[in-house]
Amino acid sequence: MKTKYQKENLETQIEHQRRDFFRGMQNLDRRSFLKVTAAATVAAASAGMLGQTHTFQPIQMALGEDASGKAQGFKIAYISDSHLYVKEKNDRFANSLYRAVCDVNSMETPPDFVFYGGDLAQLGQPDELQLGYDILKELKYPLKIMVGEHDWYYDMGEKWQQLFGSPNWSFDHKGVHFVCLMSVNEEDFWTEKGMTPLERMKTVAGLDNQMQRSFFVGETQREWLKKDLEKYPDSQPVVVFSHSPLYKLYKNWNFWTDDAEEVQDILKRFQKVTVIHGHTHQLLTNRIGNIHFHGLISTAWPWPYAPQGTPEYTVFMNRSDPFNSMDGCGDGSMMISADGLVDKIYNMWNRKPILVSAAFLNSDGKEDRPPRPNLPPY
Amino acid sequence: MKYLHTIIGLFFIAIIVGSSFMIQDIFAQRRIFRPTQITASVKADAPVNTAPEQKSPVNSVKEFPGTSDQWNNSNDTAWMEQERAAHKIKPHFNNRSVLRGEQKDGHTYGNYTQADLVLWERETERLVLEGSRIFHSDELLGSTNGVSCDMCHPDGEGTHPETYPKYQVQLGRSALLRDMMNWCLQNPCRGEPMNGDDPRMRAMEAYIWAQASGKILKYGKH
Repeated sequence: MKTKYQKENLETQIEHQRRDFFRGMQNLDRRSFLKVTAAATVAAASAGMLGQTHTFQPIQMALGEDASGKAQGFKIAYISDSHLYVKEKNDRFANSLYRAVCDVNSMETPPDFVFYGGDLAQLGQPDELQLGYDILKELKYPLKIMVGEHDWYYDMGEKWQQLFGSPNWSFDHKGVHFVCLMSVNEEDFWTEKGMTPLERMKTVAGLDNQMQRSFFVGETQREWLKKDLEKYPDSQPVVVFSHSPLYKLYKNWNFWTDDAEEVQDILKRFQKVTVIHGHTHQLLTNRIGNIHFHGLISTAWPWPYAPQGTPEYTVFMNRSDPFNSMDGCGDGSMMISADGLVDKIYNMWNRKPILVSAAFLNSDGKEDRPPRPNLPPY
Repeated sequence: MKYLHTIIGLFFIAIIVGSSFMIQDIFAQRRIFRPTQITASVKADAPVNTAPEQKSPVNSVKEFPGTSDQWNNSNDTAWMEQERAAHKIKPHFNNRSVLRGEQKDGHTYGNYTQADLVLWERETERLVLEGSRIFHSDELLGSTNGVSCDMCHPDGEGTHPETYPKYQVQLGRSALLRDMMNWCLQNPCRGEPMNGDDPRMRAMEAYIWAQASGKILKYGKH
């Protein structure tokens, strides 16, 4: 097993291990299935494949448990921050999104659904959003989509909602509760300055633009979230999606949510909570109490790390090659194990995928550390 | 000998023309910003007298009248206020210490006043703010696909001017900051490269350097 897989990159290794495993499974009854599961676990562990075992193993166990009607493990693919202009103006961003869609469609283990992390358009123009809609329609798997500030501030979400529906939603899937928040609300700064919709959009679109205000979730939505989570016990695995990180990282670039603490207060009673956020275009990891935070990478461009505030849990990604417009960009997936913990895979184009596991966060960064960068920020 | 009159005539014409340039130069030097500095950005091989209906080269200031007009008019500070409100720039160095000390009396070069300090700061900040304005605008950059510098480099972050010059294997030579800027203009922005003395290039360099204020120079660092 060791020689067979180790020369392949991480995501392929996992895919192939899983494929072979299921092929071997086909003719087994339940008792021998569990036996093989245990054997595979031991084999994987003894082969020293740390870094893969946890993504692979919980899913096997989960599937084993599935026969007795318990929770299952599964995979979610993600794409985020495509910042589309119309194709005639900028074909690069549209091509990148299309590349991500092809990546997802060709995944050997099908994801249960695809999550889009917001900022589909660059300037919120109806034709930009329509282009994004048309490209995302090519996905073979169901799409769950979140809104970003670039989609919102031209027409205050009118076109986006017309295409994709409500910006906040929740649902249950295989024993995990998913919630999506609209976290990119800003206080009105545009009326007193007499800005046109496009000026307002361009102000919000500038990451370092100081005329705009900080993002917030807002009281109405926090009440909605409280109500939504009311009926679930503390042991319920919860995954929260929000475009901005639900913690305070760097205010000047809105790597920030003003009422982050209030939202964390609502979430902290749960033992297994993972927040998945877009907006930051980089490998970004944090843990506050029980809450795990993972950023998404963009298909359009990577952001540099903020000059301050990057959490200590974050293993920096290598600087991006300025001569390769695709470097530092990509898509990825999340493996959600039966016990509700999320392992995150960053599938970076032209690079080996990087896995940030729940084990890494739960051990305070002691176990299963992702590979360190040789080109950290200057 | 019959051409002597012509030669003498030409000689005098040359003197008159030459001295008129000198006089112009003397006047120009009295201004804080000489217009020659600002407008002398037309490419060496560019047509000198471009007819208005013809499309001027991308590097010509004519395509970006805002740049030099706002620049030349010292009294117009509205754009500066606007730029300062929109984008944070690192503060100018505080030169207060040059006003102290006893040797300044009787030293022509060292005899600064508060007015000098105000002038230095205002004018340098103006250059930096102008750079910030161009850095954040795909139109002023001549970008053809909507991409501007700040999209990858918010607050100039990730430009690391303190690491140049350094060898860039992709360019096949040691690069200066401006070589990388021109690479970005041509590739991610799909625009035209700028001349080194293009007022936009000068202003953007000023902004990038200002944003790296406090960093330690480490040329050749990868």
